[in-house]
Amino acid sequence: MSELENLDLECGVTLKLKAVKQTIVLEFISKLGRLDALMQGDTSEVTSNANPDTLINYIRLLNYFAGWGVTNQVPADARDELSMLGSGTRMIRSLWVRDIMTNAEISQLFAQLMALTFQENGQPESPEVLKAKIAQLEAEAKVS
Amino acid sequence: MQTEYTTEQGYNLLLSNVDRRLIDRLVVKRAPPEIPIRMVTTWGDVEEELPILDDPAYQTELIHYHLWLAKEQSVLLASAIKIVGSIDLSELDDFSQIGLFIPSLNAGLLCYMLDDNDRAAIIEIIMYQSTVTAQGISEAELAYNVEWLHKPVTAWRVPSIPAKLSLEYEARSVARNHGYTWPEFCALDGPDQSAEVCHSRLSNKLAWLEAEYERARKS
Repeated sequence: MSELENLDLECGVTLKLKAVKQTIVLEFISKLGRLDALMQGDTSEVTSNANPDTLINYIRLLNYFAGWGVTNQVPADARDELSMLGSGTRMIRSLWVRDIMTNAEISQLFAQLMALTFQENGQPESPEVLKAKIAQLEAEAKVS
Repeated sequence: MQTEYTTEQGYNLLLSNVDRRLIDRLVVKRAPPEIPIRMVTTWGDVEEELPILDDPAYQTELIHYHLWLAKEQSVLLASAIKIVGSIDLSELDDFSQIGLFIPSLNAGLLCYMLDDNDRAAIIEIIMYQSTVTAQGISEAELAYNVEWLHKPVTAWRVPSIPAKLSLEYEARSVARNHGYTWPEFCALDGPDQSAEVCHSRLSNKLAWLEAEYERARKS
């Protein structure tokens, strides 16, 4: 479990993660296509080829994960700069987290937060199992 | 009827009830997805219907249905929630910024801010106070304490009729038979509505048991 709650970034920051609300995640996923590509680390596949709705919902889900699924305090200098945008605490954290992450790390953030959020009986689903489940749900959503 | 409730985060709420007619309208607005079935051959070459609960298309539809129901319930039940004291609702502004639609502060609180256990408990309390519920009927059964041949009436197996009745139909029938207009019945608190429905069900069971008793006695 502790492995999933920490995400080490190339920039030297370790993100502390916690589970978010399943209903909110599902709300974004139900409108999102190609999450399977995201979970494989291929964010360029989504951002370059996605339709506008997919992109919008991907960014919304990323903002939710980064703002609510990360518990780190935003460094003071970054907070002062971002607060000029007039956003709330969580949006500021989201913007800071997105700013310091690579695409690969964003994909890993998705995988770990999905595993933490959709755990069963106190045990988290492994990212691989979740990726498979989400890919299947999305494929079926397209068919239906 | 009102209930005080404190959430996991320490929010103090006062929960009242909603008009059951609004709940009845929500129930019929959209039905849950039908469970796909498969015919299987069992022992003795008997064909049986097997529900396929893990069918991926059904699971996807179920997720969509539950998301829709959660939002509709939150909007409906928001009017029965009163916030006591102050709650920092700035998180709802953040939710709006990431694209979640917040129809009202109370609906946003119920749908997006509360812990899942709190949300379920609050919905259960408001429904119990508003309409006929299994909990209300169980409480009435215990209170009535009706027995037949030294056994609770509810423990006797009575054949069911081959008709399928909605809960609203049953409630309207009970209201009519017990001398209420429908608006009068809807104005009763949930436990009182449940008590009336429970009384009707017990009376029907007793009538059948008495008829069977007479038939056995005469034969």
